Amino acid sequence: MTNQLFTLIIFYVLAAIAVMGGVTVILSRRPMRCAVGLLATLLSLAGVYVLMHAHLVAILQILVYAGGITVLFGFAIMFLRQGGPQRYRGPFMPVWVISLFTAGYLVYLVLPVIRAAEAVKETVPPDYGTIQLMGKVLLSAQLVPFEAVAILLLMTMVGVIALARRPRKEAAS
Amino acid sequence: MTLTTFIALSPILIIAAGAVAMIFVDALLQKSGKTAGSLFRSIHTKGEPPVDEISYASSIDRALVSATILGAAAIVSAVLWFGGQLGGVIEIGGALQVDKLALFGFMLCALGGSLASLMSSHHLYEIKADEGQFHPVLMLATCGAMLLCASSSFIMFFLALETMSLGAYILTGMRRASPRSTEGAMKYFLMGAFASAILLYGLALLYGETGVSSFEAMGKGLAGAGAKPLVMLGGVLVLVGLAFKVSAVPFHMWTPDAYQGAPTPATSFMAAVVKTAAFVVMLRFLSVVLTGGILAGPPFGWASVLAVLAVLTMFWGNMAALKQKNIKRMLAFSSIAHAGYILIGVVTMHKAGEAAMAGVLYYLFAYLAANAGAFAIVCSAVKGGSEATDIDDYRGFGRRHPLLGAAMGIFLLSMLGMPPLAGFFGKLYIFASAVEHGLWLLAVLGMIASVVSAYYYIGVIVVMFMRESEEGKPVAVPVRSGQIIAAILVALILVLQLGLYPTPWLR
Repeated sequence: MTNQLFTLIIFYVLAAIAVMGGVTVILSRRPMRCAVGLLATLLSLAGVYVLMHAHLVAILQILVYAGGITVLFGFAIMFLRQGGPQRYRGPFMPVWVISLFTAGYLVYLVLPVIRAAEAVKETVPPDYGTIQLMGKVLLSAQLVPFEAVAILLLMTMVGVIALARRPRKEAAS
Repeated sequence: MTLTTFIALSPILIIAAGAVAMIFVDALLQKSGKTAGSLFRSIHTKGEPPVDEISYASSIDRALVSATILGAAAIVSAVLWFGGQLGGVIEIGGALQVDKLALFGFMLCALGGSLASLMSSHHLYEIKADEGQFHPVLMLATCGAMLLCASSSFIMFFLALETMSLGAYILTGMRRASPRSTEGAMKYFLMGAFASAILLYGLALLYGETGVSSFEAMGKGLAGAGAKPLVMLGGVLVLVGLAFKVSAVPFHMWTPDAYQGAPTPATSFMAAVVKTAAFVVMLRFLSVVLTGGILAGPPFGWASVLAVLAVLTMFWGNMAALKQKNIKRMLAFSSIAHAGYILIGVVTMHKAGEAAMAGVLYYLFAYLAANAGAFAIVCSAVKGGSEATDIDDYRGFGRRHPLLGAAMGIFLLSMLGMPPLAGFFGKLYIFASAVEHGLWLLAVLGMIASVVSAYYYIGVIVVMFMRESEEGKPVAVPVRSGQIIAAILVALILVLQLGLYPTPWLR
């Protein structure tokens, strides 16, 4: 019982951090703060994954998102930044209206789903979400997709080389 | 891996192995400064800045090699499809399912890729977009499209979709010197990433309801579940993702910019291969997973959703195409409109089943041939060293080059749906099947939309044959390239053959 209570407390702490990070990303007008807010969200989500026995996903989350992507964001922001923070100048009002409408509609759609959700009754097997189990599944049940990832990776590598090279002037334009 | 599995997957394997081999051989050849086939270097270009012989020749060779590999895969798939040697359905690792539908998709995708490669020969050199990366990416993206046609589990579905889409984003941005290309690629990539995320969310919800990832098992699970909010939401989100890929209104915003900015062969690839594969997987998903009566039929099933999308797409696409001055942009809107007609066929499927599916596939084939042909001609036409994309550049094009003009006319009339060309029968099957199953309103709206489209298709023909070019303005001149001619010929033969003698394909 205390164990469960403890888990619950940790979950709420992590969830609060995640939400605060998300709000920072949306509301802050300084790109660097947005990036840090994103980092906070991603790290606390990794914590939630651990609570849900998904260790591999948690590690991947930290390595790929928190480690790789946020650093990339940081670099991009620092390279691109010229002068102070810039305000978004655009058709602000209509965007707000449309966003609110869409968000409201989504809530309208999602609410019944949440209401109808039942408490999870099944317990997961002890090795659920571990790296060993993931490895076994990848090389047995999901072998074909696992192999097919090779195509995706090779294509992306070639494509990145093509897109990152210095552009040559076109003949006549 | 048994022999049957191997044979069933052979089209994909041919292309994947070919792409890998091309990457390696090309790297070695570039290092030693040679080109693959000096045999094929008879192509002649006029009035250009000094030609960098080696890079030009290797550009041509690459196009030919990749077109040959893709064409071989198309032929193998066609043989498998016609012959039926595989004997029904082949399951591969619970992730792929090679059946008639998949084999037909293989054939269309490989054919579309092959035509795009053929027409790329001169064009890529001209826009300086070819340093040996274009064709491998094109081939691997085609592999992704083919895997998508055969995918029968959610994981494979998403993976193949991403392979295909990432390839399309990369190809769109390959024209590095043109800001338009970068803009198109950026828009396509950002919106595509959102669409993929939305689709994945939908898949996750459906997985949450049933707890299985294979299409079959999920279909059974959902049939028992009925119209739960969770299932409805998941289904809608997946439909949104797929509607984005086929560029149905209102998920079409990326299409004109991406089509216009991309190198023309890549545009042809997007219009033909990406759309075909997305429609094939849509057919499979709707017919296997969301089969339950409540999930499919009116008032809340996918049929109603797609019917609304179909009407919006047809009219919006055709109306917007009327105003276009750029031929690639016009063809982009026309491809949106075609997605609308095809969606009518998909909607009919909830009543007609297999029969409607055949109509959709036939339409896709006809659309692919006519579209690839039209893009090949756009590819071939240059104006003072750069590509001719304004419709006004084509003033008098048909008089100066009657054969090419006539071919373009045939492609456009086929897209319009003029008998006895391929497009006519495509529309006939789709509309007739809709009427037969009581969806006459959709069919009538489709016909009205087709009449609207006559204005801009015939407008181009009028410009080509009846307008004189203005004095002193550079006019569009076709490049003398055997490969582009070959692409045009293949497309022409298909358009005529599908129209005049469609029987072998109607099974």
